[in-house]
Amino acid sequence: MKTLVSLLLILPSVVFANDIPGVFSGEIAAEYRYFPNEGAYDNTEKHHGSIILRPEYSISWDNDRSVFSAIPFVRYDQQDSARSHADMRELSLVTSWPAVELRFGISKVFWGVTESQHLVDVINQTDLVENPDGEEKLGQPMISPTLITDAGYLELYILPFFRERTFPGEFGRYRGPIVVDTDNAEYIHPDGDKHIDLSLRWSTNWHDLDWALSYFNGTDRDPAFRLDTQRNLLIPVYGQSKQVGLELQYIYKDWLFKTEVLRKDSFQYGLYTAATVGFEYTLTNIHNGMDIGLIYEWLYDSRGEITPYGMFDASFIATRIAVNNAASTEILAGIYLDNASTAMSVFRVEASHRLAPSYSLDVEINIIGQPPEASRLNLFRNDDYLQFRLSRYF
Amino acid sequence: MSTNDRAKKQYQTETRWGNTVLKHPYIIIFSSILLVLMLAYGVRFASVSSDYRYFFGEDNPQRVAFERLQNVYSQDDSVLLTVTPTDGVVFKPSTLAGLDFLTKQAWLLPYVTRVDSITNFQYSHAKGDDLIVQDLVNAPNLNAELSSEVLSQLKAIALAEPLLKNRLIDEQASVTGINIKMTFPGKSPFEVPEAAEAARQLAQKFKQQFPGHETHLTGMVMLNDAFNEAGIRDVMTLMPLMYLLIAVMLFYFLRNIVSVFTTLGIVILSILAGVGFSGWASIPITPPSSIAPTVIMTLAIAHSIHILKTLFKVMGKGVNKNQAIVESLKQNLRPVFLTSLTTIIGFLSLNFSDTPPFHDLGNITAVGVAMAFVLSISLLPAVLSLVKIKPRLTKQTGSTLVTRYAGWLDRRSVPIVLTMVFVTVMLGMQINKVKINDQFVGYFDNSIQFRPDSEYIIENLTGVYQINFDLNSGEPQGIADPGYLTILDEFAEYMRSIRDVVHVATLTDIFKRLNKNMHADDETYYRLPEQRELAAQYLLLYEMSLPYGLDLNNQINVDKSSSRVIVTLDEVPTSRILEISTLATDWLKAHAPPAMHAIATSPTVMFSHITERNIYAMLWGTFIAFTLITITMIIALRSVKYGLLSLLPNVMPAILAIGLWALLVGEAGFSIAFVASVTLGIIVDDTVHFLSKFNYARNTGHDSSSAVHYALEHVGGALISTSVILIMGFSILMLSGFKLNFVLGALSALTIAIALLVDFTLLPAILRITDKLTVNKGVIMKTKYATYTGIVIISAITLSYGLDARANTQNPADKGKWVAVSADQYDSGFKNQTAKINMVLKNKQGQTSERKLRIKILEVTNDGDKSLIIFDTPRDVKGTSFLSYSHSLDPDEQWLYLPSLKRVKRISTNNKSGPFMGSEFAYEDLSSQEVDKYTYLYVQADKVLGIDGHVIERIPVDPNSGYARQRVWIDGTHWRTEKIEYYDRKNELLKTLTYHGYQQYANNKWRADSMEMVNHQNGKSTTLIWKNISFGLDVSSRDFDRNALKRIR
Repeated sequence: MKTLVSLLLILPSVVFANDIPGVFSGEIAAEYRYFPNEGAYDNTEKHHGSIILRPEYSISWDNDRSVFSAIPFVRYDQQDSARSHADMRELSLVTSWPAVELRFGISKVFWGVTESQHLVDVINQTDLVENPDGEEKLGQPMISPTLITDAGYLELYILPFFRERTFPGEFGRYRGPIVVDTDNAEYIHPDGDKHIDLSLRWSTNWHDLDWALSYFNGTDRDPAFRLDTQRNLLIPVYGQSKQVGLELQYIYKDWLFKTEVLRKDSFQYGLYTAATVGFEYTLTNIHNGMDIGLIYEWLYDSRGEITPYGMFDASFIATRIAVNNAASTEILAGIYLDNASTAMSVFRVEASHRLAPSYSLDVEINIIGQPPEASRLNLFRNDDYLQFRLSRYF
Repeated sequence: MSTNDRAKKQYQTETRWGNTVLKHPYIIIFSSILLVLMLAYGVRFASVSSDYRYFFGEDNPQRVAFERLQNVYSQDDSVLLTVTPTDGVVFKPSTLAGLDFLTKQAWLLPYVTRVDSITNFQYSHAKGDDLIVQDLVNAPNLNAELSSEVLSQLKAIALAEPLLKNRLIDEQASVTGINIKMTFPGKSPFEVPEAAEAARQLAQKFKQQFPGHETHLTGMVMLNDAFNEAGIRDVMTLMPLMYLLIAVMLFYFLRNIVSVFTTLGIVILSILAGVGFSGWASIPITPPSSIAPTVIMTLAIAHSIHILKTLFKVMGKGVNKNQAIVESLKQNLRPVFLTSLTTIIGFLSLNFSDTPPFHDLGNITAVGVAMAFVLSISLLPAVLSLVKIKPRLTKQTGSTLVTRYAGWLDRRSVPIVLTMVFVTVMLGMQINKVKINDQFVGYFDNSIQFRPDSEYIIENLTGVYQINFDLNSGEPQGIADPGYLTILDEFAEYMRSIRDVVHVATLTDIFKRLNKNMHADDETYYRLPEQRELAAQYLLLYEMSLPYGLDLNNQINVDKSSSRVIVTLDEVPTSRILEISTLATDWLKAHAPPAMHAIATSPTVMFSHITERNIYAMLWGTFIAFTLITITMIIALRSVKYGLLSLLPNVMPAILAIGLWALLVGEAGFSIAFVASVTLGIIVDDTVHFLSKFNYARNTGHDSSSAVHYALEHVGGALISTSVILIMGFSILMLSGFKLNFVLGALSALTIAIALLVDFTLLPAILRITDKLTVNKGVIMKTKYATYTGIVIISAITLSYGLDARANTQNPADKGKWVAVSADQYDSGFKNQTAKINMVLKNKQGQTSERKLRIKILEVTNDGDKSLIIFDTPRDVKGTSFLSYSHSLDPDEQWLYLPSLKRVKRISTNNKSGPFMGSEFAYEDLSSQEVDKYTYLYVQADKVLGIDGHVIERIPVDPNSGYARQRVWIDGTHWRTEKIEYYDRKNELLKTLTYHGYQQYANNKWRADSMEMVNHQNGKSTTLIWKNISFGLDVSSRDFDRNALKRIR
């Protein structure tokens, strides 16, 4: 712990050393989460404080055709020891030739077009302790060549090491009655976390229609759980899966029409289909440059009731407000509704505002409503929170 | 008289002729060969032309203008010999000694009148009060050991001299050229090949004596020689191939040795007659006319095959040979005569062309075809009557196929017609998309040394396309007038600023140098002399110092009333050459007194106009050919209806072929103008054969359905075989090293193939329909068909217009657009740019906040630029990048990269009026200002910062723009935008953008150091401060793709 703190103190001063080529930058942030209710499973603390350090070093040469970057990440959480963790978000070399780009090292890749959930996005493991919305990801070791042609981009991913999902610990929120034991994960495949996962993606655009097709074969990012009755812990069990993903986005004037379809064969659920279909309409420049985006998405999953978060026939209605001012104030507020019961599952607000050139404030609200009985979300009903995050960028 | 009687009577002539041939075969053979030999005797007068001027008629206005220029100044035929030292260093003793050797030896070449090189460049400098003019590198200088100091001094002088740089020496001093001017007496056609050969030998000799050097040759002399070489090569390589092909084809179709040899004999005799005629008529051989034998051969064979096929068919039915010959003549004499006549008309119509070599092609072919006709109805049957021919029983394999096909045609005639009409209209609408390019280097393929050599020189040293402007001062000795010189200098500067201009040679550079020399080489005096007397004196002094042969007569006329500006262009299509010529003349009209309003002249300009002139000329030629051929058809078929109907299958193939070419290939030379008339005469043959058989059947009592069947059965096979021969024959022209022949061959082959298709589908279908209509007299049917056709035509036109709608641009007639185009032209050619930007936002209270961006811009020719903006601060958005492809007509495309999510988001570009990063700049203010994004109004001429300029108004075309209009101030000298006022949708003044601190960069482009946007309605302002602007980096389109967006930090 002490080393961590001293590291936090020393790093910024190292960062400002000017005589090293390349660019040092990064973020140091303090985060505070307030849970109005006590947790349901003895995780009763209402105030959760955190410190985050995310330094960044990058150097590029040959007219930005080769880039090396490193982004370590550390969080210290006051309450949850599982949430105090470190990760190498990025440690990669990307270099490109006229028709080929090669990415080597630990990196992050995002696939998808929709806002409510990211079905096809499979390369990186979710860093779940960071945020229950699952948008934070762990760095993934990869060798990834991309073939750049006039007909689109063909990306190949060779993923030699598997990253396990992070789960909140005993004193953390967003967990069920039984704590997940992340130290003793099990694998169905004999190669364990050394299994080499492979993935291919072809993306292109045809005038105003963007589309991508992807294929993945390897360790399922989503674990099943085995109850260790002796220790009363949940053991994550990672099986193998295959999936095919389709992303479509059509842009027409102020409209963006989006579709993601996933066809997945997982050891846990067998063969199933999931889809997100929706649109985003932007009212542009309505008042001094303010943009207001209106989003609707339909979430479908053929697994039905057993869909982990219960979004098997749900709607996502959201608005994105970008004030377009000097402080870059932005608000995204969205609500997930269950179509059958029309009950609200989740309500989320994310807002950001720049306080000063190097300081920004983010506010997040997450409220769990009445998700379907069988869904995992139902376990988190006491975990509504309000979060402030003050970041200093350097 | 019954139809049968009429038919009998009609064919009396043919039968009588057939019997005559059979009675006196020897007389026929003897007299026909004698006739050919008489014509063929002319071969000994055959000559070769190797003068590009022969491509232009005597009264071609561009040729006249150019010859007038050549009479004023010295002649321009030259050889540009370039020397590339393998180590890439020109300024070293061995290379300079070699250049000195070359320069001196070049004087010994035939017809030479002037030699310019960097060694004999007349370098003037001051020595005290004296003006010294001497060779830049002279022999004494060379004998002494050249120190590296002297060498680098020489290099600096050469590269600082506007007359040399990018003309005789490249910027790295790694390639140099020697320009050898020649004046040909024009007495013998072998002058040019002789001079070209001598130049090649000199280069060879030089390479032997001075190893470690590469040489390349271009210039007008080499171009002329290349025409010559291409013509001879076409004759030498295409002919043997043609013979081989023909022999193989004949064996395949006839399977009879005697008839194959007879046919080949006829072919050879026809060619001899054609070529002999060219000798008698003293027509020189040029690349276009050199293909005449190939064309004659193809056509002559078609005739013979028709006669022979019928003969075998009749004999196959057990008729004896002599009767079969008569029968064959009876059936074929008329169609063969007709087809020959129409072919001759088609080829003779080439005489309407503006390019004499194509007259020659037409005339030679016409004579050859006439001869082939005579021979195939006389010599051929006469020979056949004397030799033994085994009858072959023809198998009737095809007939069930023919029956089935005819049945299908019968049932589907309406859809067939409608489909063909639709396709024709669709493809016809594509024709205007053909891009015409007559770069004369591109006329040749790489097998002709002129092309790779010229391309090397364009790539490494200078351009080969030049345009001249003869600028007259209006009075003798007027070129020393400072007013004249100032405009001349501005004109040269303007031309230098235009994209694709490589070099501008102007007298003012000499004046500036002299003025400097006369002021003790003081650099500050490198400007035009201010007094007329002074200028005149300098010039006189300089001219007196110049040695023999290196005077200024190539730049100044005798009474010193005018001088010429020579503009050398990069590798550009001819359309661009015309564009630049127009820009130049427009500039002169706007800035110079009337005496100086010169037009662009040069061989390049002549070639740039050749297509347009030929197309107009051939429109008439083709129209007249069509009319004559249609009249011939009406008379021959004795039916106005069928004669007019024949127009359809005659017109459609050329339209379809050219339309298809426009879609698939796109680019063509001016020979495309001849395709219609050349092929017309040939494809008519198919129609003639089909219609005469159809007519024969109708007259002998068949109804239209079975007449179609009869015609298909009797000429179907022959049509296919002749078409195949014709297609292959014309395809052989595609092997020509000469682009015009290639295009002509390819398009003709395509046209003939399509014609066959049309004759087998549309023609019978139309015949059926019209017949039904006449039989039924059904008004309802007629209306129905007319409606169908109307709908099809209208939908085809709408569809094509729909495709074209975006491509249509407005006529750049008005002056406002002219200003915008000029500004765009002036700035175009920067290729790419990178810079850092500090964006300072200021609110109403005067508080500022700053953001730092990096920007990369890639110029995209003929479309909007691509740009990539990366944010460095504020730190929370560091790494956020913005990629934009702006388009001149389509909406822009934009992507945003969010580094924290690693997500690339496509952005709706409707949001162009929104502020960029909270600044007062809207997205649309920052995207590249393409000319086509606005319509323009010229407001007034104005002083812009004390300089003459223009005020224009531009109205955004895009309805999503946030502006009703913009008022733009542009200075008239450097075409820099100085100020823009933006009016919002309510037409109230919203913002004003002013540009400050313009600087000119190494590539002559101007960039402002800062741009200040003030919003009058909210009191805020944003200033962009540009830093580290650099151009011409190693940045290409691959740095602007979406992966680059993800990669960048």
